[in-house]
Amino acid sequence: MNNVVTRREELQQLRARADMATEYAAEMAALRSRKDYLAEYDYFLDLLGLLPHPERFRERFKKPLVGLTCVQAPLELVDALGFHPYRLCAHASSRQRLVSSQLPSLACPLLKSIRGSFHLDESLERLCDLTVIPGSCDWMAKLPETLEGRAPGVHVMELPRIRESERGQRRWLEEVRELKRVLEKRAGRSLSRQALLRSLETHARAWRAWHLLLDARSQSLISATWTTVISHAFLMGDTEGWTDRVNRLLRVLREQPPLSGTRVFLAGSPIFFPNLKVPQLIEEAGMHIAGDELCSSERILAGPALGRDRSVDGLLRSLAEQYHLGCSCPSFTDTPRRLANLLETLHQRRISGVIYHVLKGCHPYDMDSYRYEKIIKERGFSFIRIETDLSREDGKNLLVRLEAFRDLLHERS
Amino acid sequence: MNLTRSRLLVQSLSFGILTYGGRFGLNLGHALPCLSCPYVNGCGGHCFLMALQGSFWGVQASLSALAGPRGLETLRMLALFILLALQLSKLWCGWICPFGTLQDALTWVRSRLGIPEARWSWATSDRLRWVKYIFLLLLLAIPLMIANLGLHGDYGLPFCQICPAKPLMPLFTGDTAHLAIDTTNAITTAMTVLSLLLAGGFLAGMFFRERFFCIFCPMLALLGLVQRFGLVRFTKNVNACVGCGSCARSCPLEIRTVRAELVKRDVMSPECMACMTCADSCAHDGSLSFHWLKWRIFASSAVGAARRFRKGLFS
Ligand code: SF4
Ligand code: SF4
Ligand code: SF4
Ligand code: SF4
Repeated sequence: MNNVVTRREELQQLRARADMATEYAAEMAALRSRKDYLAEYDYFLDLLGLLPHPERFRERFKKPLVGLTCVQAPLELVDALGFHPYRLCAHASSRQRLVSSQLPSLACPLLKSIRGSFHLDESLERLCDLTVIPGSCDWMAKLPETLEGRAPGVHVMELPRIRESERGQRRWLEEVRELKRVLEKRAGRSLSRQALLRSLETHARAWRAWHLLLDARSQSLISATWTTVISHAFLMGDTEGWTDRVNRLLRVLREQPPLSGTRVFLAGSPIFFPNLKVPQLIEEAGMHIAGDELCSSERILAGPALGRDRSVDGLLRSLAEQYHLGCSCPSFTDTPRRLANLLETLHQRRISGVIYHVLKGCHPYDMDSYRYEKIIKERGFSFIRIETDLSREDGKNLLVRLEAFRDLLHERS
Repeated sequence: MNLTRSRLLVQSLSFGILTYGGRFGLNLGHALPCLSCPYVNGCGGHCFLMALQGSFWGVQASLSALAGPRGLETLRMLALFILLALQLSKLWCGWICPFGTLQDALTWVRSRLGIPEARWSWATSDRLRWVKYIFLLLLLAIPLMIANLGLHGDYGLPFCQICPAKPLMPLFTGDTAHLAIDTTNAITTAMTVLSLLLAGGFLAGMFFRERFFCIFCPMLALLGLVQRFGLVRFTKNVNACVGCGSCARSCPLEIRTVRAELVKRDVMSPECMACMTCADSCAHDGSLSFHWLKWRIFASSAVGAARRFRKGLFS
């Protein structure tokens, strides 16, 4: 009997790996065949191409891996203690299918995709020496329990939802200090100020390059599909190499003719490789995403953590606050600021329409979408809400709606 | 030139001019809106607080005299102070005041020594900021009481008697006279002992906490009263602010209201001293800006914050 189960599991593993390789390869091929493909994108695509091949990833980076599930966990801290920080987020239906019978059908597809990878005996997720999970939403809060020993080490960070109070800010700082202690224990050494400063500097440089690339996107020099590829490549943790390549790409982009397309803003749930359906469909419908607020895109980097106190603890506090206070995640209780930032970007980047993306099952963004619609429309901007998951079947339907939205924007301009 | 360097340059020049200018015949008057202390022999101009408390241009006179030409003289001095305060507002504190510069120097030494800054809760900060108004009230009330209610004259210039600038700033000219205890009578003895205790306490405070004295400074309270009419404006584009808190963390006085403000454009709080460090640390283009009339002095930018980040960390 046991043999039968093992055999079945083995087959399941083989099929899952094959499915995953196919899914990633298909998206990669689609990207390489795009008209706006440039050779400079290869570095980023190659990094993403490592995702289904943990052994190659390991070979390339050779450091102990720390997997993170959310933009709230400070990368600088992980990096400064000699680990390779790697974001576990993905939009892979091949991974999601692996856990379809074990999680509610209405669970967030992103969570399922993350959870699915832990089902693969050989996956980057399983290779992580530590998995850090900030409890950003209820799904994420429940994730650690569902892992059932499939991850070598799990550390949960409790995220205060109220951050305007001193209490909330102190609690998060305590969480960051605790993460430092956990990492130090794993690393077998304590965090040095110099290493932390170096890491802060590296990430500040990455933030600067990313900021310039977003400017280039706002000037229609690069499409959001490519910036999504690049942002996901950043999450693979090769920060210095990535920054260098983004800077090189910027020089090439400045020579490119601007892309056409009606300017829109993309709000809502995150989007990860290998399912770039949403930006691709928006572009196919004749629109250009000139700004976004996605934690998988514009907000992948928290920005330079400045502060007066440059002791290790002072730097930790700066990091904690920069990540926590500056984050526009809907899981916090202070959404008005996020909405104000969005409206400001619409003005600054001359955008007249907002596409609000809801990943079916991503409740915090879903909840916000109604108020967003009301206020954005009241301010005279156009708004469309699209709800989708990781399947490709609704592509045609979405395209029709997006084309109608583009026409509406044309009529109103 | 970046903001930190420009400020350092202006502060150094002001320090030199206000501490030693008198030796070169400079006299910027008696109504300066900063602690340019006249107890410093050969200073380049006088702190208005002395004039305000005094019996010559200030409130230490009988009420009937204050209602007459003597009062007009006091008003003239006040008007002069207000005129200067309107021109530069809190820039007097952030960029000019020699006692502010001394505090910044102490902070520099502390951070070089790797000694962490003293911290306290939001509630404590909120409570402490009222002390400067109490000082302001006392420095007006005591001279009036001397002149009208028969309080002993040795309580004259009450704030100067306890102001840490009095014993500390003359040290820059090699003058240690104000470190002595005046045993003329019980009042002078008590006041000079109190002065030394406070000076010691403030010195320690200023070493362990940036701009510690400014929290209590009645000059800041006075400037705060007129800042709304001043020519210097500190504004925020509330919609561009993401709430990251860089401004509050970088602010020498840890002012939280700049970050927290979600509605009003004017974000110069009564505690602010217009040092502009917050704007220099904000990575969001145009989120924070300083203007003199319609001319922009400084505005936050991504480029600036990235530069400050590097300079700030490794300089
Ligand atoms: S608040 Fe500080 S800088 Fe301003 S006058 Fe007082 S001591 Fe000087
Ligand atoms: S002692 Fe202090 S308050 Fe008095 S004049 Fe000097 S600086 Fe001003
Ligand atoms: S630094 Fe700028 S963006 Fe951050 S809280 Fe302050 S004003 Fe807002
Ligand atoms: S709020 Fe800004 S300008 Fe005012 S004191 Fe603080 S850092 Fe300086």
